[in-house]
Amino acid sequence: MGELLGVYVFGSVARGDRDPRSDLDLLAVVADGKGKVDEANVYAHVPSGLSDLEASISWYGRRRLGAMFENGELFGWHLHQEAMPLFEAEPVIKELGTPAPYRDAVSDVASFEKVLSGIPQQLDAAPENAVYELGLVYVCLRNICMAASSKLCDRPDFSRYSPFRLNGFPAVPMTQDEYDLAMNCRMAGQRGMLPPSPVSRSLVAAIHRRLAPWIAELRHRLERD
Amino acid sequence: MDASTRRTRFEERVRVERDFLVPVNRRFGAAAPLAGMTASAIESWRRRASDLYIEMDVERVAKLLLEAAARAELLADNSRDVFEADRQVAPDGLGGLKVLLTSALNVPD
Repeated sequence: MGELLGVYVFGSVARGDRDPRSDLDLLAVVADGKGKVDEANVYAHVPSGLSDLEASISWYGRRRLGAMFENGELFGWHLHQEAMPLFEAEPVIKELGTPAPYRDAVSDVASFEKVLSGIPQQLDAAPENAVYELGLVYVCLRNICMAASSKLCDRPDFSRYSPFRLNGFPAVPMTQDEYDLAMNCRMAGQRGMLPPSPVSRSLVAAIHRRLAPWIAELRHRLERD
Repeated sequence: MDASTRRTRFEERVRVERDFLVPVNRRFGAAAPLAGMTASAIESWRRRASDLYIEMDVERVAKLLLEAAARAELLADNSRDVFEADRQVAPDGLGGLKVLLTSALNVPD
C-alpha cells in the first residue's frame, strides 16, 4: 500500500482566479516504489469549501517530482509557483527549492505547432470531428503561450488566458469569444460538458489560418531570444 | 524521461484519440458529437446519442470506447497539462477494438 507524503492544490483555485469553469487540480505526492493510495485518502484533505468542485489528481512519486525540478520542466515551475499544501507529512515541495531554468520553450512550442499543423488535413478528412479539433487548438495554443510566457513575461503564466497576456509580442489573432469556444470544446472532451453547437469546419479552419503564422513568428522570437 | 519523450506521448495520444473519435463522429457527429475519450466525455456522448439514435446500439459503442480508452490509458490522463510527464499512452492492442467499433457503427474502414 502506498504512503501519502503530501496533498497540494494548484491551478486556478490556488491562483485565486477560480470561476464557474474551474475544477480542483490536486497533486498527490507518494513515497517512491509503493504505488498510489486510495483516492479517498487524498480527498479527505480537501476543505469543505472546495468539495463542490470536480477534482482531478496528478500522482507523483517524490523521486520523479525531484527530477522534474532538477530538469527545469515547465510543470515543475507550475507547481513551484502555485502549489499550496492541503496536507504534508513532509514539506516535499518546499524542500525541492527552485526548479532549474526552463530551457525547452522552443522545442515545446515546435511540438505543439506540429500537432496544430495537422488540423487542416484532419478537418478535410473528418469535418464532423470539428469539436475535437477546436479543443486541440485550445490546448496547443494555451501550452504554447505558457511556454512562451516563461521567456516573454516576468514569470511563466499558467492561467487559462495566457495567450492574451504575452508581453512585447503582437496580440494573439483570436477573439476571446473564439478562445472561450475552443476552451469549451476542450472541456467537453475532458470533463463531459455539453459540446458547443454548432462548431463548423470552416470556423476552425479560419481560426487555424490566423494562428499558424502568429505561432511561427512567436517561435522565431523565442529562437532569437 | 526527457522532454522529447513527453512531447511524443502527447502526439501519440492525439493520434489514438482521433482514431476512435473520427468513425464515431462520422456516424453521430452532426447531432451528437463525441468530444473526447475520457470517461466523462464518453458518458456524456452516450446519454445524448441514446436519446437521438434509438435504432443504434449506443451502449455497445460506448463500452467499446471505454475499453479502448482504458487500454490506451487515456482515462487516467486528465490531460489538462500536457507537460505532465508521467502520463502514458499505450496504443497496443487497440486494433481489435477498432474493428469491433467499425462493425458496431456499421461504417466502412
